[in-house]
Amino acid sequence: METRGTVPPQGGVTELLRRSREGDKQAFDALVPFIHGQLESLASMCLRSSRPDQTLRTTALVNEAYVKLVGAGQDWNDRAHFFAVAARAMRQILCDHARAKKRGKRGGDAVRVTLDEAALISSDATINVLLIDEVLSQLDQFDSRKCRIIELIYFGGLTTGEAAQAIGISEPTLFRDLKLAKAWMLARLRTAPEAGG
Amino acid sequence: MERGRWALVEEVFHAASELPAELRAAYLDRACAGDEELRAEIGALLDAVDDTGGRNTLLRQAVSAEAADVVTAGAEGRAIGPYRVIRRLGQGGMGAVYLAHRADDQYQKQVAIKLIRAGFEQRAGLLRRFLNERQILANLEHPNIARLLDGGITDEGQPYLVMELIDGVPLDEFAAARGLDAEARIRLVLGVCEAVRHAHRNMIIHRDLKPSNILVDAEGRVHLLDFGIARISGPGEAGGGATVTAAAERMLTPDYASPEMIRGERITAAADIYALGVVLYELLTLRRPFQAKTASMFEMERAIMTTDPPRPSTVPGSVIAQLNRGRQQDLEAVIGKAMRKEPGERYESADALAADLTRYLNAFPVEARQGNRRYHALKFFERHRAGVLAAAVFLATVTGLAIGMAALARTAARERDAARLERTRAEQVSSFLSSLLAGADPRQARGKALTARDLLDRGADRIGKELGDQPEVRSKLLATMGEAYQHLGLLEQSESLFEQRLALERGVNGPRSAPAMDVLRQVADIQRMRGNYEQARTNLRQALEVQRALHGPDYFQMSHSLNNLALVEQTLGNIPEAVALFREAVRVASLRRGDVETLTMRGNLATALQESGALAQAEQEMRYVLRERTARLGADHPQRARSMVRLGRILFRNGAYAEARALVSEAAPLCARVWGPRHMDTLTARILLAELAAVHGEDSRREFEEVIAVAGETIGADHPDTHAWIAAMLSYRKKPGAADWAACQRALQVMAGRSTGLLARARAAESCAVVALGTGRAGDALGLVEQAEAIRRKAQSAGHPDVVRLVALRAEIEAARGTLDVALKLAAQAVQAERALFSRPHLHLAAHLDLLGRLMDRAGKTGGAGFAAEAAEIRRRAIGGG
Repeated sequence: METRGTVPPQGGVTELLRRSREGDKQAFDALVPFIHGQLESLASMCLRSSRPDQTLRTTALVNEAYVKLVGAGQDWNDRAHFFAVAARAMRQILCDHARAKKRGKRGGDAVRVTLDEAALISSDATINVLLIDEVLSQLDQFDSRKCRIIELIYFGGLTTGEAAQAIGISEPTLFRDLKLAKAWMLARLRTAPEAGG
Repeated sequence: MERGRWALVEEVFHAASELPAELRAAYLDRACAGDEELRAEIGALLDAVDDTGGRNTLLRQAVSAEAADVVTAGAEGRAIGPYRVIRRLGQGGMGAVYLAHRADDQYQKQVAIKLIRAGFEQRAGLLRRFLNERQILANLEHPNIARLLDGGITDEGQPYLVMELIDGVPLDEFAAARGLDAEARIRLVLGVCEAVRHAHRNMIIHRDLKPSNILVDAEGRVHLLDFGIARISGPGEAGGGATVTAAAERMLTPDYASPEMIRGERITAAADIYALGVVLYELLTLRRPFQAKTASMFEMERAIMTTDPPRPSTVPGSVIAQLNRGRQQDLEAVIGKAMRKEPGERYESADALAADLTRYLNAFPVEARQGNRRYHALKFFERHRAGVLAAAVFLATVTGLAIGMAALARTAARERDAARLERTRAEQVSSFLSSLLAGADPRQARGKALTARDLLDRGADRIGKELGDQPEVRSKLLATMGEAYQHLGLLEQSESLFEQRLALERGVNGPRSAPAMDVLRQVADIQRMRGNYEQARTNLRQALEVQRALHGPDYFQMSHSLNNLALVEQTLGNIPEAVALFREAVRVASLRRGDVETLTMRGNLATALQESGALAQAEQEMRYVLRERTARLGADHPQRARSMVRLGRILFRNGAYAEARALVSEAAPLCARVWGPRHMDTLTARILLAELAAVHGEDSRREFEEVIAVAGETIGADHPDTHAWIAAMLSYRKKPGAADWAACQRALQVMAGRSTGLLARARAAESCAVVALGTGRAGDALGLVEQAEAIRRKAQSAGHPDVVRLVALRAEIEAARGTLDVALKLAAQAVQAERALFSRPHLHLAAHLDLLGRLMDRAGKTGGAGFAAEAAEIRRRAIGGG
């Protein structure tokens, strides 16, 4: 597996962002694992820090990572692009985590205290990130723009306006894309079997 | 999917999703002709469209749940109060649950700790409620209830609860893992009833019963978790019911919520009985009674409130499938009684439910079945009062003694007939609609709007001809099509259909019956929209009177009538009445706590308050509405956009120019996005922006003209609203000309000819007066001001800013006519009033100080320059610059 973490990729984050924005696929790919590592360490710090609110929002994390790596007040285009990378990284993090949990469960988890675990998601339509990931990958195969929109909004925490800007389409177009993408995914999720590990 | 195919899917999907739901099927039949696969694909996609406004979608929930999980994983060793975390047990909507032990070893046993995720401001209230109730909960000792041991606040300020650790699995999983039969499952539910009964006796309601809150240990004993927790951790004060939003936020799915919970009404023990019914249903059928067919929580909530779940014996895979029919009916009756929509119709206690279940287990007849028949007979009676009464009377005379039995048998038979009839009716309605649609070819319509209008016209024509002998089918169709016309903005046609329906309902149910009154309210609302205010007022008053007589002063539905009547009074210039009626509407609406429509009414109240002169109160009220809307609906909601524009208008009037401009600048593009660029809300926002630009000294003529042109295309060039905007635009002309004078006279004429809001007319007259004055027509100007004054004097007090502005305008007119002394007096009067009126530097005051200064100069008095300087200073503070 590629290195995730603390060593900044060659060329520096800002430079890679610039290249990635100009369409350099390699630059994008080089950024993902690095930002992945940053987001993970930020997430684990969340618990220890005495932040007033435990509510975790992916946006908050991504924002924090951005400020840390690139600095505040940069060009929005860079920022939008950073979010695109971070959204992909966030998707990976959450899926890795869910997979690890699945493996752990097989090891036997004798005590079950479910205080309001069902509040997680309605249990018979258990939609989890792994299922979302799988369906998203399917969508990516024939409509990668819609896949990116979902990533940006749900994993990156962008608003629709920001996502439209990040992708370079108008907001009405984004709304249409989003409506169909969500419907398509939900239709698939509803018929999907229990997620494979 | 292949890309070309996908492009086709996209096209048809978007075209279909923009059609009204009832027109879709026919469109799809045509657009996918012969391609069943495509038809199915689009159908599934349309079913899955998320209409929750994007806030609580399953996708978002799944992602943020996992994200929260990432953060709370790996908490080993963390201190929570005097406890130390051993490991995390789970992660739920309310927060994470940890396995822990006491760090100081005072208490050796392991415990479960639940950290409650809460916003900062929620915490103080939460803690207080917790402390209040902790003792009660701690005393709740029962072998089937997991005990609450302790609770407190972490060093970081997060509330936590310490619970007895239960080694068990959720009820449904336990039953599935052991392959339990129906009887064994029922015995488990009896254990739950025991626990609930004990809690209810101690005046504690669970409020959140569901299988995951019910654990079964290895010995098969049931343990209820979280008793009373929902009450502590739900927002709002203890004692009240959870609000709609509270319920929605806390439970990501309303699966176990009773109808009254969804309505946000006061929660009683009956809600737990309902939830027990759901649990029983689920345990016996392996399915929840109400399934979210789409991702929309709204639809599911509606289903819970209005529809009956599938009969348990008909659910595929049901555990009771192998039972004989009588036994199935017994269980269905028990579940049905526990899950009645009306709390008062359910089992009166968990004991009563347990008793009936025990009767079932011992093969005695269940009581629910008796009650069931009576219940359905009653329901049937409610629906067909006249028919049943006649039947009963007939039977009474003929059969004497056996009335009761015979009536029951007879109604049961009728009930079946009624169900069949209902089905037939629904089929007739839909076949009628599809026969209408069959004529239109969507392929030809592609690109332009489907000719819904033509279809409706054809349908309206045919309803009378073809269905004359079937009043109920006709009534339904009239409603459907009347609403469709209304959505298309064709109010005249809509009103005509609703009038027909009203006559029909009056004939069938009686002139003052509840159904007739409901239709009357709809008719009145369309009359109001069409500008027939007097008629609307009469009808609304009648509807209100009957509603009050039938249901008492707190009847929720009355809030709509009150609100609409207030709108009418407001339009007719009766502002104090409007304010009082809006207040009453808000009061009645808020009896049902959390109702979002209350906010609409409060927004209306704010506007009326502004017109009544209660400026600060209006502003405060509108700010509240916007804040709540933003919090509840999210940033992109149309209703939020509307509130922003309304607040912008109030702020503008009250002199908060910068804030108003910032707000409306944000609102205008939002409106365009959520309402569409041609929607009146969008245009209203843009007009307001143009006005704001004009007072900032910028040239906004083009923007005005553009918006007015769009309005002309959308609502008509001769619509009073279009003319109101024309008048507003003209009042900002620096040097109006003859054409402007003609245009604003025409505007006023149009607005007087059609029933327009009186205050809007006063405003237009004022604009006209300004133009008259600007084009040297002082005499005309005076007449117009008097016209405006006459309206305002009735609607508003003498101290209202709009009235004071007319005083100043009169001063200008008097000056132009050469009566300088009168002008001076009036200008001074206006200035004096406005000094007291506005808390902010206000442009009207600046303008009138200028006027006063000019008049003093002209009269040869000293001190004019001082007023001019003051005006300049106010202007600078109000809008910056010159």
